[in-house]
Amino acid sequence: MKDLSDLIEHNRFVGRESLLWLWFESELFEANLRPSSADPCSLWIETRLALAFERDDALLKSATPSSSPEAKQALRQGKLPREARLRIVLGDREYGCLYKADTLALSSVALPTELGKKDEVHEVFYERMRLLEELEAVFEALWSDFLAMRLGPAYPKLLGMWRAWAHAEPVDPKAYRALKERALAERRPSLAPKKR
Amino acid sequence: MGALRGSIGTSRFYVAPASGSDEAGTGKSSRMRIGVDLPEGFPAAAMKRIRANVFEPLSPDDDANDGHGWCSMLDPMDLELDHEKVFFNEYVCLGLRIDRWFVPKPLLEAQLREAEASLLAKKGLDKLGKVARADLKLMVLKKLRRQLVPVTKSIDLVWSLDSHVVHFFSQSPKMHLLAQELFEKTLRYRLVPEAPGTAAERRGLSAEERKLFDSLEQTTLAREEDAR
Repeated sequence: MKDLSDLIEHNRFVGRESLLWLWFESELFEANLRPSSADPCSLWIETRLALAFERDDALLKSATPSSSPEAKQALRQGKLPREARLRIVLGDREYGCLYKADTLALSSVALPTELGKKDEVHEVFYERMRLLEELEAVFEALWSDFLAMRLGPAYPKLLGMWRAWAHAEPVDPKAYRALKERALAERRPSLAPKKR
Repeated sequence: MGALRGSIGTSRFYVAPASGSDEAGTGKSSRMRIGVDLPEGFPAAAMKRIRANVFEPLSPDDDANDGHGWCSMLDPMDLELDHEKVFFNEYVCLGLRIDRWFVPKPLLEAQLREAEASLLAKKGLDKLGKVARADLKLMVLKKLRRQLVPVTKSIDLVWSLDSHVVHFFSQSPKMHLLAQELFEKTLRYRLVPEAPGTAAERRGLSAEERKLFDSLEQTTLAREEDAR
């Protein structure tokens, strides 16, 4: 059996690549994401974006850090996004969180709760868990789609599109969508999570 | 607190069979099993083991400077755990309580100096040996602890029995280790931290996909001309 510490420590960079992919899709589709096994959502990077390559770190803080010239410059230098503050809208519910790509962990999560201190504590707990799990289901669905692309034959083309995007060259959203749809259609059914 | 109020910082773990258990497999498989089949009567057996690992308040006379164990998620001071306080529908909810003595260093040093001078005078010595000084320090420490209360911290842990996911509301690696150790000791299941590798495994990669995943190289968007 593969050693557990290997499973945990090996390929942590794939988490950074998944965040890169979220950033790419968010920019290409003007924040409108369509995970294949969850409802459509809006997702964009706001206020904080950290990029890293080995020990070389770049922290960008502004209203829209991912659209700053420094962000793409960092990508062209070989850096990948390490963490980002994300805003996610699901229907009429708006979430905020800091996504840490190396561990896929969420911190400083802001949930659209309606209950508060005055409400019954169990109800408060169930509401918070339901909202947290709803948010995580979106990330799981997106992660699953990303994995299908990263491990499938479409990856070299995706990489070409990523590079063009990082170098401010045009990327055709239709061509990317077609590539993605093919990749997701070709993945093994067991890799696709059930729609919640 | 996390699960009940405030902004959330959570680390996810997957519940897996403990290493060496029958459920974990024979070791011939290349796949790590994530998720467990709960035995019949699990809640009652779990409650018994949780109660056996409940937090025990620190005593000033203990040599240890800190201690940890389970408490109620709703109230860290509540150590009388029962089914209603732990099982919330499909969730197992616990607080990991960590207490620690905190004796201010200047206070300890002042008291130690005083005690050392008194002992030297009593025994007619010029200097204490290393061992005698360490014993004296522990004695002074224990005396000071009687005038203080330990610092208490509690971190929520929520296990969803439906998804086999545990949310632990701290991202400190030190706290993760404590939670993992105590969870395995108490419930006989292992907590596997979520990471890209374990999250990929959880999706159910085929042997071929796993091999491919293991051989991935980090993407770079730099082109040769960027280096010039």
